[in-house]
Amino acid sequence: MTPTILTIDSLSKNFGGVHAVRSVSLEIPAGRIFSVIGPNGAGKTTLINVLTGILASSGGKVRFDGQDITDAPAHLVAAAGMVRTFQNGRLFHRLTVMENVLVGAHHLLPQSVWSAILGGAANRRMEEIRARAGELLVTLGLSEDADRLVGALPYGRQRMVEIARALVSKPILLLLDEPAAGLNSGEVERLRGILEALRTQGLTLVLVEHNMGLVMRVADRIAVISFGEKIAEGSPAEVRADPKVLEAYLGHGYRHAED
Amino acid sequence: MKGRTALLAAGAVFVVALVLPAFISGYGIRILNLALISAIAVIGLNFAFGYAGLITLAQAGFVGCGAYITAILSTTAGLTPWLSIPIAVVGAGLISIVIGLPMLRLKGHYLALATLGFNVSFVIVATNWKSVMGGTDGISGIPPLALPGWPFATDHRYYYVLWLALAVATWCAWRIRNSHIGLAMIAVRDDEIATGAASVGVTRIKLQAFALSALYAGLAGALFAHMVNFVAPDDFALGHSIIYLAMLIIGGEGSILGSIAGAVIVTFMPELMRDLGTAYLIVFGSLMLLILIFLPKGLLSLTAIVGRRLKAPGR
Repeated sequence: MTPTILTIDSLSKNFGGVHAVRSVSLEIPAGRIFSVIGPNGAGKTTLINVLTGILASSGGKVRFDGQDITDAPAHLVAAAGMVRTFQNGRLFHRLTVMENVLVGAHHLLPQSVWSAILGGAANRRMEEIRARAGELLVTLGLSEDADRLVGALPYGRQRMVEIARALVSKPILLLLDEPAAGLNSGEVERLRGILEALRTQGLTLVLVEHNMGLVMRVADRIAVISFGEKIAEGSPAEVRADPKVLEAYLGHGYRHAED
Repeated sequence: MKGRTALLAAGAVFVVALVLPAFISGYGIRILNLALISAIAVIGLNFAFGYAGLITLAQAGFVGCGAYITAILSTTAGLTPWLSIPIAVVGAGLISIVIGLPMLRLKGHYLALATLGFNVSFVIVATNWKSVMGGTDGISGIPPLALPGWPFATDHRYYYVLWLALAVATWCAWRIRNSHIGLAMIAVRDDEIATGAASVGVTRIKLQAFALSALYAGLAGALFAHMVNFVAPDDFALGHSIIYLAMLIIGGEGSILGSIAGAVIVTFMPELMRDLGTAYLIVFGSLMLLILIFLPKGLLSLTAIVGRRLKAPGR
């Protein structure tokens, strides 16, 4: 059994009377691809938003890499090594591709304005980061685009920019919110290769995804969420065979609509 | 190649700026000096508004903070301007942090209103706190900046001080823009949530942008006080904050050169159209409207457009 890097203990999130996430507990093993799936509106994105400090939780605990990060601010969660991408792609449209990626490394640099004016150590560290960002762009197929404004890129490559921005921060765990949405089949193949390569490098991946083909092929373990609750967890084969999962997706009897 | 042209351009600007005062009359140089001072304040505003997207209407208030602090220190307290100016700059910065901490929780129009409130309050305090800030009479007898035996008492001499200050201010701004701090400021305006998720402390970056705008304003105000040797509340009223904003938008928000261009153009426009009298305001208003509609990135974006046109056909 591999050690657990992220422990989610009965985490909840309510919006008024709506229970978007209901007491979900998960243990994410280090160095694996853990996938979270579920029908539309199941609360997957809300779960990520609570984990990464974008929404405040309504109950429960989150432990990451030995520290309690429940309701920590977003930038501290990222600095601790848990970095995310967004479902619809959130990039900085007034910046170039390279500049977008560099923003992800902010916490690795000195935070004072003086350091920016005087240069010195900050400059040298920035050069290292720029070099690493350049390598990431090559790996992700963006080497030609470094100096283009990010809005000029086709959608598929914009999503890769987001992954590069997350990776440049040297994360321990990468949360990907539907990275395959809107990608064509060739791009999904490329994404699969990237995810597997990241796992080989020892990175932990949490993959929230609708593309079942991709999930079933790359995930080591899968949790299924429906109406804010975890209804199943296991290996891809176990989850595929679980009748509750079939019911959640195919809507046999609408079990949850009653409560 | 691009670096070489930029270097040549910078060299040309340097030479022109150096010899310019020889060809300008006393009144013209006063206007030019005011333009340089405004340029410093507008470069500052560009951090908050142009980069970080903070709609602030407090810039004239911070210019006033700088002007009054140096005025009080160099008259009543008898400090040399060489000391009172830096203290004024730091003072304006500290005030901005104190009011920025609560205010920057507000967004958009709410922040605009809160900063407007600060600017209005500043004028009310300056008008009514007679014992320290002199009331409507203001503070007079502010000494000029001076080297031993060589006071910068004339506008022609002071021009070089302002020019140097603007050069340093521009260089610092350019360094910040190209650092991770500048990138984070621009990112905050584009997408605040994604900026936080990318490990940037959003509150901190906003506060840094706001404080930088106040530091630049404080410098502009302090330099202004030692040029005109007299400060009064009217020079720092809300209307001036709106003019700084107009300068930034006309020149090109988000651009350091645009900030300078806007300050120079807007300062000289009433002088060039003196014959029109108050009808000048109609021209000014129309120009503002035309720029907002056809050149939303400011007059400086014209040079880029013209440059593309020139390059396009087989060059």
